[in-house]
Amino acid sequence: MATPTAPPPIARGSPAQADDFPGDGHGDPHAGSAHGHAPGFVRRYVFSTDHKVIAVQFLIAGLLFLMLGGLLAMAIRWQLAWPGSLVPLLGKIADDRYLTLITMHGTVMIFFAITPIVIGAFGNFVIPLAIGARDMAFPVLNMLSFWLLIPAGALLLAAMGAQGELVAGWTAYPPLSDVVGSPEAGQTCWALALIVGGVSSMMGAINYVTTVIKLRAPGMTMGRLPLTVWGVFYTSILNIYFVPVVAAALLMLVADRVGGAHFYTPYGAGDPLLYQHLFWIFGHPEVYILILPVWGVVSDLLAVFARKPAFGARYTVISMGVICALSAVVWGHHMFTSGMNATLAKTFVVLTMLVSIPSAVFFLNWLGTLWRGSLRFEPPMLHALGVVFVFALGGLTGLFNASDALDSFIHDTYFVVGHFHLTMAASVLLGGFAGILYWFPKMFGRMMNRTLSVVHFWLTFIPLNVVFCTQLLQGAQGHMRRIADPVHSYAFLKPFHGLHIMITWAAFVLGAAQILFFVNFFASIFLGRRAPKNPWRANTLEWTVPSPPPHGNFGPRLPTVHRGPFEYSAPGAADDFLPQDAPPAATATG
Amino acid sequence: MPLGLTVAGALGCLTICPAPGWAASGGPPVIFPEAVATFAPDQDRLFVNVIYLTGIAFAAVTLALLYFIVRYGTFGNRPRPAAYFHGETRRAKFFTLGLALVVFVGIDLNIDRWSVEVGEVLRDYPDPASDPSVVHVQVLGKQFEWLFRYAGDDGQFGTEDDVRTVGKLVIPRGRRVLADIRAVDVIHSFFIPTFRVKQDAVPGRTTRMWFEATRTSKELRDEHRARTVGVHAVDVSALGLVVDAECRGAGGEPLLARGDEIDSLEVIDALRAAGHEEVVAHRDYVLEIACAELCGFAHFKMRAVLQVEEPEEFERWLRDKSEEARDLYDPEDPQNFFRYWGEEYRAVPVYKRIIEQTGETPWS
Ligand SMILES: [Cu+2]
Ligand SMILES: [Cu+2]
Repeated sequence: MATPTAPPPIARGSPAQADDFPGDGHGDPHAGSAHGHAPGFVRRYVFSTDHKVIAVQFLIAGLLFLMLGGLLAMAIRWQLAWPGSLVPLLGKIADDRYLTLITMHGTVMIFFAITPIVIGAFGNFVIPLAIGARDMAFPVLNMLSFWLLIPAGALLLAAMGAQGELVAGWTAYPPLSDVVGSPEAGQTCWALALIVGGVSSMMGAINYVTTVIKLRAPGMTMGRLPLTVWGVFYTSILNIYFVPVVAAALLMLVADRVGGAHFYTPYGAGDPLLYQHLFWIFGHPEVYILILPVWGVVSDLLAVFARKPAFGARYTVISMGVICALSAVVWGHHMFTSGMNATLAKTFVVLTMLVSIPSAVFFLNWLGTLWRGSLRFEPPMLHALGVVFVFALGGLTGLFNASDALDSFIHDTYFVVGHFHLTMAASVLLGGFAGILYWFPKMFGRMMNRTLSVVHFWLTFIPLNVVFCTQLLQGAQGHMRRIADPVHSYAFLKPFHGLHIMITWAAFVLGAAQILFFVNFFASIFLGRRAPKNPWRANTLEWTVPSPPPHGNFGPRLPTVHRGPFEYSAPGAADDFLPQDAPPAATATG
Repeated sequence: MPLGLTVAGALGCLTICPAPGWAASGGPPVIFPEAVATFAPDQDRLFVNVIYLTGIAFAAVTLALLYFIVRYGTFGNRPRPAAYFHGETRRAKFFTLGLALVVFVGIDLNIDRWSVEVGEVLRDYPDPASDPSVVHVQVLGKQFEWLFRYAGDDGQFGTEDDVRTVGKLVIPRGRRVLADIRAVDVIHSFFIPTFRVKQDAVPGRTTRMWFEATRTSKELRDEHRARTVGVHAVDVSALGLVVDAECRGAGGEPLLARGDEIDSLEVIDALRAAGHEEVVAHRDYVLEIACAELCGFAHFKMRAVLQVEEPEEFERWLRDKSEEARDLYDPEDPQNFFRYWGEEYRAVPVYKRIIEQTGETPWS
């Protein structure tokens, strides 16, 4: 039961938080322009400091990069199924160009598609609205965070066009990524792109953490935060700790490349494995950096669409925190075959295994939320349920890789590729779609087409599983990853080439289905049905303001929060939901 | 509570009792490559056991998910009210944490235990100094070849009778082989799929790997030939088949001679275009060594052949090669004398520069 408590004094003198915010727009998203200080088009939609505009900018940039990453994946799949044939637009793919494609696919998807969508867009859009703040704590920093992504992306595209192919993959292990293996300019551009992208992530992370800690509305205790906010909050903490590590690793790589340092070449006391340690100290948490927001979104959405409080929400929060802590000490499982000391390897196995305790807790909580609910299969819910399925697959296949002995067979095979695509690609992609479908009405004031969304879900969900589960099978056959031409290389792979062709067709269906999404997304911005204030009948604060919310989000007065975000189907309530800011009296008048 | 206890108990029983070997070692449900090393069946058993354990968890989760969807889903127009509870009672807490611990103890710790057992075997390196039956071989990865070196007749590396091969590793069946693995330029990974082991070759350090083959290449080749000889459909699965009868095109021109391999998708297309729905063929079998770590543009074909011989055959081969090496040895030719792969390092441009500047090889 929701019990009213006295709102604790939260607002601590931030200008953005002041109650006397000029109410230049309550009720009408465009009213701001009528005022004297009205910003022009450029200030309002381009170099805007409004978190909602920045969120949309991140979202659109992320979607465009997603398109690029997806097209790269299609080219890769074409080459794998019919090596040596002419790939549309690209022609015959040379062996080293193939490596550029896989490097770019990984880098674009991880750092320029998923990161901007689930962290940049969701974090920016949801955090201030859901915690009852007028904007982020540092709006200018927020704007810079987005605009740094542009030079980062430009550097990345330059890397693709620059002299020399990106032969080292997204993990860029030296000496291959060093002067020894790829002396040309491209690889340097690539490293710089990631460093600049890292600075952008860092700016965002500092902003999210500060905003969550400092700018919560009266009554919004940490315990009453929606789980999406928790997810982005944890992600930001991980970013703050670990982005500097990879930035340092990449700076050392750049120093090797342009300064003649020998950090990673064995001559001059350098060590290639130093890079691997630094990279994976960041790289393992990076998985959680990408997936924590999605876990939060899924936890929230399951509750909304089951019309039921999230099961064990408090323990979901605790287990996500435990996972964050553990993520810092398991990186060695990426390096079992590097010649690691046996005791160290055994330690990393056990530490990695420990992650499954908190994972099982929040996963069971997801199932608990569905239990005895009243499930509404709206498009966001379909995707959320999809995440539950693929994450089970992705999580459990992680146990194979966690074994150092088994790793000596499946490391660097398609088993690993299937596993991390199930977690990072399938789960995060479906979770990203869930979030976009869910908050689209609030972002743009319009609904996305339901039928198209449902068709898109099934055409994504099914081929996604075909592609990545078949890759698990290929891995069990010992098929190495990053093989440009499986037909003309290894005899033991030839009898199973049909699997490659099958995966490619499934991938094409998957890719084509995304056209539906893009059409639906961009057309709905202009043509969609007008969205009501609260189309999903949800409790969190963003649904108490108009769609789209006005500049400053809330009217002249900030909302006061009286309860947690999950009061669905509460007995005695007038409706099957009870917004966080509804005064306690509403509970009584049933 | 009784229901929860039952479920937890059942899951617990299912997952805690099985020991290694619980899953049948024969007929694994996944198409692994041929198992040719002594420890390969152990690896497969580990793999299969993990499939079973995670499979139980996956089945339980999927069934629960499906059940909840069907049972509590709102299909059409009959919304049922949802129950109201937060799942934060002591009971709920014990249930989820309990089940999570069952998963940890039943699945994770079992996998860990088996993993340690198999890992112990994988790391049980033989000592060639104390055990003369151990074959000691040095492996060197360079873009994009595997180089191998045997000590030769005198049992010493770095002498004139060393046996060197490129792209082919010859080992005896039934004897343990210890491989010292190094890399010249970038990281490679020495991977033998049929042995289920790989070990990175990292510039600047020596890693080790041991294995013992259980069958000879000839045995495997004959067995595969016998098993696969016959009529095969001409589709993508025909890739890699060796035809036993000549295939002609529609105009009578020869497409494939007897003994030719169907080595590309284009050949399959040409055969189909010429009306060949089926071919008489067999599958040749070679044991292969792969590079598993991305090492540059030709990484995908950094392949070596593994040849397993009967021990006597191997001894004869090694003696012959060693004699040959001694005959060819020219003390005046610096290319011929090296302590540990010295000249291969010199071939790499960046090291060449370093060597010229400092006058020493990186790891001589
Ligand atoms: Cu990891
Ligand atoms: Cu290699």
